[in-house]
Amino acid sequence: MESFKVVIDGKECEAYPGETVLEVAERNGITIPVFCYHRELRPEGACRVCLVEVEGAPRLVTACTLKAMPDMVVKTNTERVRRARAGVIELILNNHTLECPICDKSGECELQMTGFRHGPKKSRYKEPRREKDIVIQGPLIEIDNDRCILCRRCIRMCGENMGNRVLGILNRGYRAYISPFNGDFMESGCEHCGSCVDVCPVGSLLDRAFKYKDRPWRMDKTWTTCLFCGSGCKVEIDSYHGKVKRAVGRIGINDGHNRGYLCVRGKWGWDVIYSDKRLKEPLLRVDGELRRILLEEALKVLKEKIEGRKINLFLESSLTNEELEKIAAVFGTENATSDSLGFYNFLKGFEKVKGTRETDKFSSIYDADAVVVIGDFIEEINPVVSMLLRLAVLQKGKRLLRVGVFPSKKLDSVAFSKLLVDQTEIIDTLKHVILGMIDTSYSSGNRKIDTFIKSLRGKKVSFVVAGTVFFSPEAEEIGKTVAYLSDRVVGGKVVAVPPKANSLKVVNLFRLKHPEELDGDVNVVVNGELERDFPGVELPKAEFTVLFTPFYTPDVSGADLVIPVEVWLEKNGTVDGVDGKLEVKTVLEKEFSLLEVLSQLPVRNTGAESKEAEVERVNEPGQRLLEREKGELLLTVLSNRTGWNSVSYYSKNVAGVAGERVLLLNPEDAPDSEMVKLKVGNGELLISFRKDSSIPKGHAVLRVERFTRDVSEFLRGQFPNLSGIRCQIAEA
Amino acid sequence: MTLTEFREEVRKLKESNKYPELKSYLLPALWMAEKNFPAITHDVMRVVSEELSVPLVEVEEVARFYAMFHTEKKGKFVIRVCTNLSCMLRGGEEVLSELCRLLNVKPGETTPDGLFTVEEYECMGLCDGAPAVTVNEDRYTNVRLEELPEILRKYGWKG
Repeated sequence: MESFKVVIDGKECEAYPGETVLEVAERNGITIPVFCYHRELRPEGACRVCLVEVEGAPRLVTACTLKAMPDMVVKTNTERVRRARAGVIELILNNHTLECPICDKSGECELQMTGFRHGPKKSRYKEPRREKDIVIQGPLIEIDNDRCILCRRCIRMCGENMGNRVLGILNRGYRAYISPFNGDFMESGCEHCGSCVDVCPVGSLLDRAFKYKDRPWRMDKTWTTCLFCGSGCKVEIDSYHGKVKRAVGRIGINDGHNRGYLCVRGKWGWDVIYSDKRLKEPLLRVDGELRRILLEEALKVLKEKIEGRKINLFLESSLTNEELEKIAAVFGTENATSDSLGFYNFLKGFEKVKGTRETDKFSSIYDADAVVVIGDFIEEINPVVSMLLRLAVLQKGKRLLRVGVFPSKKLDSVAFSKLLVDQTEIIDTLKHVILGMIDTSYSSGNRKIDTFIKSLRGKKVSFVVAGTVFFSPEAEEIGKTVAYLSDRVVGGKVVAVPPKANSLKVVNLFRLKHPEELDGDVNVVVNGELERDFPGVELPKAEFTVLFTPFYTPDVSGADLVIPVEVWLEKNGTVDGVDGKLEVKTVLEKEFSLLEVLSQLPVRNTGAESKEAEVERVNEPGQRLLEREKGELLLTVLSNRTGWNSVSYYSKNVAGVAGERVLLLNPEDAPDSEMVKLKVGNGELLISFRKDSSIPKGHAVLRVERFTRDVSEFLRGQFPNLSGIRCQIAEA
Repeated sequence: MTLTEFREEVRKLKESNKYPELKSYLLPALWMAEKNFPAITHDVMRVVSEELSVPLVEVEEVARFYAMFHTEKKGKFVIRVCTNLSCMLRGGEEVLSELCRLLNVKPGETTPDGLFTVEEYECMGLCDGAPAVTVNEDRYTNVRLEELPEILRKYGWKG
């Protein structure tokens, strides 16, 4: 793009077509005060604080909406501008409550700061202050409308960026106020991502978990990485005297790949460390009963029991690299299984075709023109990733194409083209796309697929694989197909969004097996919960079972030795996330540390580190594996957004907005009864259902908040599959 | 009208294919609700939102924004008295206070029998006939104070 010159305050600045004066000024270190403008949002020009003088223009103009033009001369600091600005701020302040001393925002409030710097020194306003006196309390968010300056940042954030439209302005004129429908966040479908709280320039939208808890200026601010899912979001944890007070994303300031966007888990799940289900001391089974013991004793027992024994390692993939390397050294890498097994299968298939397991960083999608998203329910499993994909379209103008089974509220509204097909046909559909990319005259016989292919031709394409793909029985085949396809397009970067924070390191470090193939003598479960991470799997018969866990999980009752560990908020280290190496940092003190316990165990000498077995290369896309007989449905078991990684079970904040457990069926598949009996293999589950026309025919979605024992038993023998499970339904 | 009937009506409206987008049926649908229900309640808004796939809060925003939509219960006849400049100069405010005196309500209130709601209103474009009063969709221009009881009796006022 040709750049041109703009003169701002006498300084010659370089500008590009399409940029606003405010953006050019910001880049050149010239501050223009703003309220309604936010760099992540579409400009609105509502508050008029950013007024500037443009040579030749009769009136002052708002810098946030004014496009820079060649040879424009802008002045941001003349007497006229200063007076206008002070006048605008005076008008805003007239009806703003003077409760800074008790306001949570005080200290990081944009109105406070701008008011001090650019505001009038005194007010000429004689009328009584307007009192709206409307406070709307949701489970996690509170709206204090007296403090609101109606900049509409929250509404733009919620409606446009998040695609949710929970907040709106009710009434008008003097009485206008911000509210969700009927004052009810839950009914309005709020996802509680907390972005509205983050962008609010005043203390109107508040984090209820933080309300009256502390002052922003005196807290220790630590940038760390949220390990609740594979998105690996950078988040600021604020603590005071070793106590966590809140988590903030700081949209627009955050330099992580998530740019400050968080989800309900990252924003409010931090209180898992204060869960009443936290494990406080090691436990040992003596005469069939669990007794409290000291850590030294526990270590002694552990050393004794694992010495010279072959270990069945059950790994949960939210551990840091350092911990995983230590685990590998102490317990060995050969006889391990993990909840990332499906992800491992996908990468295995990918490697068979590509010759490497390396996938690309998430930021690589910004280099492409078109992004093909393969997978469903990304907004539940990796909410922030689906957000960023949405924003890639809205802000960066990428072309988003979806291949999947289920409609997605967040992505479909911005998708350029979408191929929603039967789950059995995912691979065949991808193969059509492959053929279409090789042969420009290819016709699949399906117009939808043909237009899809057409919109990819000649474009630089990136692939994002995420969501339920890794829990499908076809994970490996899809891996092959995607790898094969990516070699046949321009660009061809592939981003595999791991389901758990450190799935990548786990699959690269360990040779994962199916739990049934484990043949050791001692079970070691690290950080995991069997029912959640290994649904349908029973611990193999072993002499001894060791459990490393931060919480009292249901598995504690079956363990012989339980050693408490820390949660991620108390960890220092790194993880291999979706965007390269991510740092995990803390200033909190911890009682127990997995790393410390492990470093006291002897390093296992398994001879030379056995190399990963050479994979046989294939040069063809995968094969379709899923079939369905008449009367069968393909079931997807999906953990709710709040329940992923059991966040809502351990976090009181998130428990307040937890989702429900329900079966979703297409109206045509649904029986007349109120409850249905789901059958998978030998497993049966009695559950209430809801008709949902967005679920395609022949599919069913079982949404659970938590993988309880009955769900786990129902899924016996299915691990690692949670999607594409053949099932039958019967009236109950 | 029941909610089910209303839903049917909204569906019929959709089938008329007047507009390219579903969202555009929002105002006609709410106007239908305004005419057929004593108030546009949240239940009504839910029906509109479901039928037109418009977010709930957008429906509420629209319903609360326009002064001709009532989200609180209104009377059978809504009497709107203009008090903008032209009407005010020609005695609009007196008309309003006389009406309120006759019906024994304050502006914005409904009579106990649920028959009349009196509203102080912004310009209705009847400045040539100031002061202007409308009762539902009937217009009365050049209204004189002594005419008011007669107008009210037309709509069943017993006073």
